[in-house]
Amino acid sequence: MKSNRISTIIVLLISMLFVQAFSYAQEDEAEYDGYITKLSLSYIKNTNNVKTLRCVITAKKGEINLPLENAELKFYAGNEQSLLLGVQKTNNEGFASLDINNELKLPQDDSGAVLYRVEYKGLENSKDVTAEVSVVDINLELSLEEIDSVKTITVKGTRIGKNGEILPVKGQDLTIYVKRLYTNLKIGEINLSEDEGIGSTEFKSIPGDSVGNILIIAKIEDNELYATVEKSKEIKWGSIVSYDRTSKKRELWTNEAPIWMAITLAIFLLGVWYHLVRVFIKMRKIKKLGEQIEGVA
Amino acid sequence: MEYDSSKLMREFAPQIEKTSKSWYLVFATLLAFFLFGIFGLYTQITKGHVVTGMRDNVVWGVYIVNFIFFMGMSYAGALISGILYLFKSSWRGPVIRMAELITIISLFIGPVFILFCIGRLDRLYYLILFPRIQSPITWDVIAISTDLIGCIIFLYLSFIEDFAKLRDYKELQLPKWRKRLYKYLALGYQETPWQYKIISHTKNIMAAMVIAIAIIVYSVLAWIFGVTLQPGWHSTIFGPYFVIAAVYSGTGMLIVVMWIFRKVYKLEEYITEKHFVNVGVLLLILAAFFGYFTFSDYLTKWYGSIKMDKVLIDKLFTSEYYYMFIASNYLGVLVPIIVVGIKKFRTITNITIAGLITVVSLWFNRYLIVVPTLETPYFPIQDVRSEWLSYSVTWVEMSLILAGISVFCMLFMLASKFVPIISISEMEKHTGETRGLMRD
Repeated sequence: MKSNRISTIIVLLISMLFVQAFSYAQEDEAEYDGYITKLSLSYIKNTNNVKTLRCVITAKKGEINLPLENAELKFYAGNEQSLLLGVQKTNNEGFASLDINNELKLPQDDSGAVLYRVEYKGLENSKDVTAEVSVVDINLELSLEEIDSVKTITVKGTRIGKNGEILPVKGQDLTIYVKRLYTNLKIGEINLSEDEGIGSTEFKSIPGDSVGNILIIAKIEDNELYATVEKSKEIKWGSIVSYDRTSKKRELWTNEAPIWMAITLAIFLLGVWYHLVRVFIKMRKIKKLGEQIEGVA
Repeated sequence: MEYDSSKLMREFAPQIEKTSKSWYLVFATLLAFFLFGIFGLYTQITKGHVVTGMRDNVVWGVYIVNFIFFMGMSYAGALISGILYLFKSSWRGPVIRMAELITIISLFIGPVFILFCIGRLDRLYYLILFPRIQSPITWDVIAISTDLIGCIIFLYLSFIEDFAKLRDYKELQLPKWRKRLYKYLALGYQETPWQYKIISHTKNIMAAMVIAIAIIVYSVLAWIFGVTLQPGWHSTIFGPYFVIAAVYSGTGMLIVVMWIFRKVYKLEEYITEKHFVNVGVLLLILAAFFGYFTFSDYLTKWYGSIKMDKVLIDKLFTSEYYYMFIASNYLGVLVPIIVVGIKKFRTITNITIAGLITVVSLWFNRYLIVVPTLETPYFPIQDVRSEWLSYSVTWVEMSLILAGISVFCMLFMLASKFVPIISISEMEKHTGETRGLMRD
């Protein structure tokens, strides 16, 4: 009877251990499932007419937002009859991009827009994640001319119609930037006209590089119809900035430092070292006196 | 109280002559920590600073905290010993040497932490070759090196008389080279009236000098922060605030060191409760000053509510650094005031605990000055990664902190084997001959 009780207790304890272990495993799995996968897709057409799809995928739970590394993403164009554009894997920041081959004939809808889609299949038990962006392909022409001694930036927006005809991009707002070291500096805005899709703005002088070169950028950003499109050109419209570094040689007694600073430092050092030298002299005196005493002894 | 020189020599000779097994054991343990630090340093040199918690935004971490901490203790030692000497404090005898040793040892260790922090050690000599007078870093290099020379001279001057006593004490059981070394270092000092007069005068000069240099040097260190446009740093109060904080932490360390040597070398007769209470009262006064400066600094920043100052203060007062802030700026101020201020609590053990709390609190105070500010930049780097904005200490940094502390202890232990840990010349009763001649 007693041994039965003991064996029952042992079985209970062992089963509790298993239950504990099992419940830990469940918690781990539940925590993992709590992450929400987020996929974002954007479209950019750069100055060289290269169209790029950019994608970022993250897994979020509460305040934690982790990029998904090495995730396989499939990029498509078109809605019903999808065309596979390519497959890319994300980097350690959860980022992947794909340049669209300009030779491809992409399926368009009635308005001339192309629907781009990216898909992430995910793990075995998780749901697929999809992101889409619909874009009408447009071209920007940027011309930089001096008209009546006024430096003028002119932009023309066009797109290809259904039958191959060239149509103006009407009434669209653009921003004009100049490239600086860290970011682009906004210098003006242009509204493309309702008839020809042309707009212009005056350029006011700003500093360029050592020969006056600046890079002017016309940009439509995150637009519902056209996404992000930019065109840029380099021109010698900037004021020449030269940095004469030869006169700024690094040295202690340079003229760069204010005179009061040099005087303060000199007073400090002279004051301290005057006393230190006095102390050295006195120590030497102690030694001499000691030698005299030893000599007498 | 005055003591007889020969009695003191008899008392302190065994401390220099004999080394116990426990001394070797403690030294070996500290050496193991030091070697662990060397391994950490090797890892840092071979793998780069990525093994530390420092990143693009938070470019200063515990290395700089330790640099400020050790330099602070050094200046405190200089100030305390200088003031005690200059004002001929009657109870200075057993305390002054420990304060001097804290000065020198900390001054050797502190700047080494800068070397751990610098990414390109191979360019270190640029500081000497291409210094720019308008750079606070240059001021610091000049000030620290001047301070080091001044403190070494002051310490040496206070040792000369004891070196002479060690040279002349015939019963001292030491190897011949040690005796020859004492003879050489004693500079032929025979305690003649003229020599006594010269050395007293020289020590007076140096005591005044080290006080002045210590204030200048720690202010310069504070200005490295103060002249920088960063939230929490750009403050006119930082110079005096750093000086007070330094003396405060150094006084706490002095109490701890006094307690350790009193226990280890059984110096109850020399280091009495009176000494602890006197240094404790100094600690209390400094606690009040430190508390006042801290309150004043944070009050003006909080009331001004400049955007990034407010973000920083929110971190300190209410979120990430709340507990550390409370521990360092409330406990670190109130505990010493209560312990020393209320007579009932004023025991040697309690004052030592208060001193220890002060030392630890002040280390965290420096951490709160350095790290949260760098985590709150005015102008974040573009596309900054989240891990660049926060700092957490790594094992490599911890190993080097441990190494720094162990070297501090080891140098103290070695110093106690070279000279009496209590200045005999300060303690002794001068003979009538010397005094009489002095009067003449």
